Amino acid sequence: MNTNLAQYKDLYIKTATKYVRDLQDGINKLQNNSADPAVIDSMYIAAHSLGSQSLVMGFTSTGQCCRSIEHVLYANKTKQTMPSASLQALLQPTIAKIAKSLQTIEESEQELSLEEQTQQLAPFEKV
Amino acid sequence: MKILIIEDDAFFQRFYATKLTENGFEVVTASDGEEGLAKIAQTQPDVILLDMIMPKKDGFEVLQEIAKMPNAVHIPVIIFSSLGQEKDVQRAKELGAVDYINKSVSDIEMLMAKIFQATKVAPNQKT
Repeated sequence: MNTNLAQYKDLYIKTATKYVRDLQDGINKLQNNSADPAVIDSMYIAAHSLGSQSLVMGFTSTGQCCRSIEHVLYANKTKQTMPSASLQALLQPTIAKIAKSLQTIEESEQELSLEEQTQQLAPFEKV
Repeated sequence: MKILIIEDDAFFQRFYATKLTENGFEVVTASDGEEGLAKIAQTQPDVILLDMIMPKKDGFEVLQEIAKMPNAVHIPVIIFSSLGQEKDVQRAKELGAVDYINKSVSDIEMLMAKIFQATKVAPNQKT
């Protein structure tokens, strides 16, 4: 990790953990058939913030995957739709892997590769 | 020069506040739109850095409120944006923002250049 950014690591882990929890809560609510737009708003803010922070800290794979989630949810927000069942089925394991990436970042300052998940989300960004 | 940062994310609040303080700026922070509007009135900053994606009152609503404040409408506002949201940047400029910076970029020199450009202050006159 860049030594200039090391001073922000603890705060990054603290805030990122909260955002991952928000994403997990949101996807759980969606899979329990929630149609509340506030769920999408909450997930969107979490993905936006977590993505931006991760990119600043140099965790590019994690950041770009969160960006993809942000863009997908942006599409849902603007169209006032809820994520499709197929998208939800993709989001759940993706969010789980983001959580694991955060864990490895905390332990070893190394992130997991989330390229595959980012590629899988790409088609949904245009919906 | 006094900078007000309106940003709900604790990581970015600390990150930008620290970087700008290290570079000689006086920094005030607010954690949401409503607090931000109150601090504009209280502190009369020279520049406002405004996050667009915040809970409760988002950046667009804050811009609309600033436009109605006679003692604040002249204060330049630079927004934080995300990649791929050019429409939001355009809308923010229509509401009075003078510039934007991508939040996932940690280039503080670019941010300072935009601040000086917004206030038409030469860098060696910043304090």
